Amino acid sequence: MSRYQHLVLALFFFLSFSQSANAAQVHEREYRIKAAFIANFIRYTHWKNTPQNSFRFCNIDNRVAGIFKQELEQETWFGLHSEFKLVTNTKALPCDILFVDKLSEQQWRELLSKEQSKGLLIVSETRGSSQSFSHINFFFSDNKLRFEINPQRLQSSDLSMSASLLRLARITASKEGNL
Amino acid sequence: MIKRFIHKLPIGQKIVALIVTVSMFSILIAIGGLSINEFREIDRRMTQEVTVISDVLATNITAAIVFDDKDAAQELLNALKAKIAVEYARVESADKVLFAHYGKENLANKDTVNEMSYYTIETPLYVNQRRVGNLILVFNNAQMSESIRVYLTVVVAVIFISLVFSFLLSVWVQRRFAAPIIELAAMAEDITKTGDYTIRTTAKTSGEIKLLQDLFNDMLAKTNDRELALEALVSKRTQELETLNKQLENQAHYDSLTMLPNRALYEDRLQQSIAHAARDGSRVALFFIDLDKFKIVNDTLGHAAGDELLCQVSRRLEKQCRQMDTVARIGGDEFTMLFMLDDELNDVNEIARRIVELFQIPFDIMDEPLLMTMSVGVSIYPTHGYDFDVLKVKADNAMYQAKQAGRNQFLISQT
Repeated sequence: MSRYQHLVLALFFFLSFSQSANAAQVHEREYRIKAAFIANFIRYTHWKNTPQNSFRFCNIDNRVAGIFKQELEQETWFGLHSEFKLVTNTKALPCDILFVDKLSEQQWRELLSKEQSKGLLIVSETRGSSQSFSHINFFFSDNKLRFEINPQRLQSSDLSMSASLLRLARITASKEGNL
Repeated sequence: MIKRFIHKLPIGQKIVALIVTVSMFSILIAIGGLSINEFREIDRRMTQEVTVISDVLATNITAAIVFDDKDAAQELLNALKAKIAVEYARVESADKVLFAHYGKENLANKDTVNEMSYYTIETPLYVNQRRVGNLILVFNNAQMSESIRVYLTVVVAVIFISLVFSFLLSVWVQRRFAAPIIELAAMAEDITKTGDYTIRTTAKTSGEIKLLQDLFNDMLAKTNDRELALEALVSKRTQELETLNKQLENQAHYDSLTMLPNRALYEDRLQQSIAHAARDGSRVALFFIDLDKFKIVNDTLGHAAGDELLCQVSRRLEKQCRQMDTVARIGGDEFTMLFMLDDELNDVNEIARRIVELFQIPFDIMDEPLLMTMSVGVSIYPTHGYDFDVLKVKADNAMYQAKQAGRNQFLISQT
């Protein structure tokens, strides 16, 4: 290989590495913001059966769970300390809140029964998720993080949400047969 | 000064002034109290309204802050357009960074707000006891000022109407109660001036005023009766006094037996006659008369007979006198006569002769005829002197000479 070719190859590897490193940084920042949002979702949400001993925050993805734990460990909700759980199947339930990342959604959509979702606030980040699966769903608009809420699903899961929060959200409705 | 001024006012004006003043003070005190209450109530309402707006907005704005949703915050603030009173709104983060704002930006400056008398309310925004920001609302006081303006207009109207009413009331009270008293006072003054106690007050009244009126009329009636009785008594006493005076005068100037002028009155009249004659150049004749041997009558027939004789002699002498002439008894059996001589009567000899002849007819004393003579001495002014005493002496001397010459005759002074 010529010297020129070596130089181009080195530049390619450098750019690739820096790109992926940057992507990972952006990814982490996004979840930190989402963690802050979720912390506030909990404050504006009312559980019909108020959590008793601790507030159980469940995650599926290990990496996201780490970020969330790091961000929200010091938070208290309803005067309770938070308990972070990593769940891989429904046996690990019950939880008070479950964050379902993009990659895990399809799997959990099939696993989670209607009964199991009672009193469980499901937060997702997949387009259209709130219409059939989650209660709150993150989305981006104009490079800003936004969220949508499905009041029908909240009601059917014995949950309610403050009007102040609903006012900020994009309201969605369930698709037929997906309450 | 005010006290003196009030003292000078008539009772009617005093009543009007009193009622109007009391009413005014009462109204002002009442309105003062109500105004304080009203201002506090307006302030309370305003504060309450502002607080409600702020609280409602704060709840929603807090969510917008925690989710960093400036658009939602701005949308919420823009909804304040419906609230005319809100001139400026500002949402800031806990570290005072502007998050969203609405309205007149010049009101963002606190000094401007204070200078312009705006009303500011700052609401801290909390999430789980964590301060996430502030909501600052700036209200104008126009609504409050308008409320106060309307209230003050009503207050002024109420004060004015109340004053008019209290004035009319006081005038009515003055007419109802003071007018009869004023009438009584005027009547009392009238009675004092005229002394007419027959006047009565007739104004239609009731209660104590009527009682006062009746008592006053009653008092007048009694005073009038007493006045009449007093007048009658005074008149009677005056008459008695006059009678007494007359008696005293008679005693002083007239002889109690014959009722002829006595020596004092005779001397007075003689002086007056001389003065009169001196003025118009006429003459006065002075006659001194002494009854001859009168003592014998007293001694033989008694004093009663003597007195009766003196009385009859007096009557006969009186008949010889005109209005202007005088006959007087100057003591015992001595008489004097004064004649103003004029064209009608100027012959002294004739007068004297007539007088002497009067005694030629017997007197009827105790049913018995009694012949009595007299001696007469005459002096004439100014023929025999100008002086009163001189004329008396000369007449007296002439009378003695007549007695010495054989009595029952007259003699005109020769000196």
